[in-house]
Amino acid sequence: MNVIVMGCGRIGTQIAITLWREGHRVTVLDPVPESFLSLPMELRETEGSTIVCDGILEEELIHAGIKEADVFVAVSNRDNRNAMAAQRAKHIFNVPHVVCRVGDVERQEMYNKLGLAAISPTKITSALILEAVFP
Amino acid sequence: MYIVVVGGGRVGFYLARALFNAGHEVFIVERNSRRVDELVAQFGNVAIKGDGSEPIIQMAAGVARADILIATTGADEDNLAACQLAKHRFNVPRTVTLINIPEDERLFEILGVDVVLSSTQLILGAIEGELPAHAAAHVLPVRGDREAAAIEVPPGSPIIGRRLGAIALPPETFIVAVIDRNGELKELNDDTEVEVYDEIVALAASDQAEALLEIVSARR
Repeated sequence: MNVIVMGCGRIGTQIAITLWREGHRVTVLDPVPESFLSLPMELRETEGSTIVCDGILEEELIHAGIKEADVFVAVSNRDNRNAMAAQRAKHIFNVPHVVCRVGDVERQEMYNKLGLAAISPTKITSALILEAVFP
Repeated sequence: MYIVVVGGGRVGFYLARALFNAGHEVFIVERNSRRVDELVAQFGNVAIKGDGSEPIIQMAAGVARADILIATTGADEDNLAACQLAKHRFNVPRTVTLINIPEDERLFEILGVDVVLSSTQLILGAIEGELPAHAAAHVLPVRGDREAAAIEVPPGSPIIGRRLGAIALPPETFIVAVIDRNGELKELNDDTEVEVYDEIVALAASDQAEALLEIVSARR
């Protein structure tokens, strides 16, 4: 599958590496070129695997191959950018699988109600920590 | 009405002032604390510092009872998030946003933002209103210091609906053919009626061609 990962932080890196090892075609977007250093050399040196951009502009997403993408994952550290790019991928480009990261729990729930798959690391992490403390 | 403005920059500031002057209750959310101080100095205690796309800030700003939320920040993603939160979490009846990137307009409309204003489009619209739509013309110099001109009749042209015999042509100017929008030659006499997108083929003295073009072109 063709996968676009927006944001090459810890989460983006983890997702990109996992899918790439499974044989998917992965393109990672990040405005800071150095963030791609977290990717394995072999992936980084693959043609078209990294693009230096925010991913919030329509033309950036087209350049990243959104028209042929099967999966779009928005996991940068900016909630609003993730939500906007994910909604663009879903409603303008009809990407079949779209998921975004939204830290704020209330807004994550709002986006879910609007039919956008949003995941809140805040909610998941705190739930796991509470479970570890009070099993 | 109660109106919450997200973004207290230049647009937000003057917008708030205009809304106050019109007698509305206004509250401003602004990220930069120095701007907030300036807003409070100017308008009184009607501004808070914070991210207008955060639920806790919208709650503090009383968005739940707002009639309108207007987003005016310089980042389209922040404007979108503020409008969606206001609409879907706080049931604000009307959301209005400024967008900075014209291509974002369609996305905002699909996502249900009620009024989407692109500054680029506003300026372009204003300019287009100012300029008369000039007729598209091909001009060919011919013998005897004359020009043969083929001029398309644009929408808004004053000669639309007029008979050829009723159009005051510049001196030494002759209409030699009128071709309709489908490429058919019209019968040529004084009673031939000019329609929009007709192509008028005329022979004119060189110094009259411009005057002919003016007659056919749309007015403001």
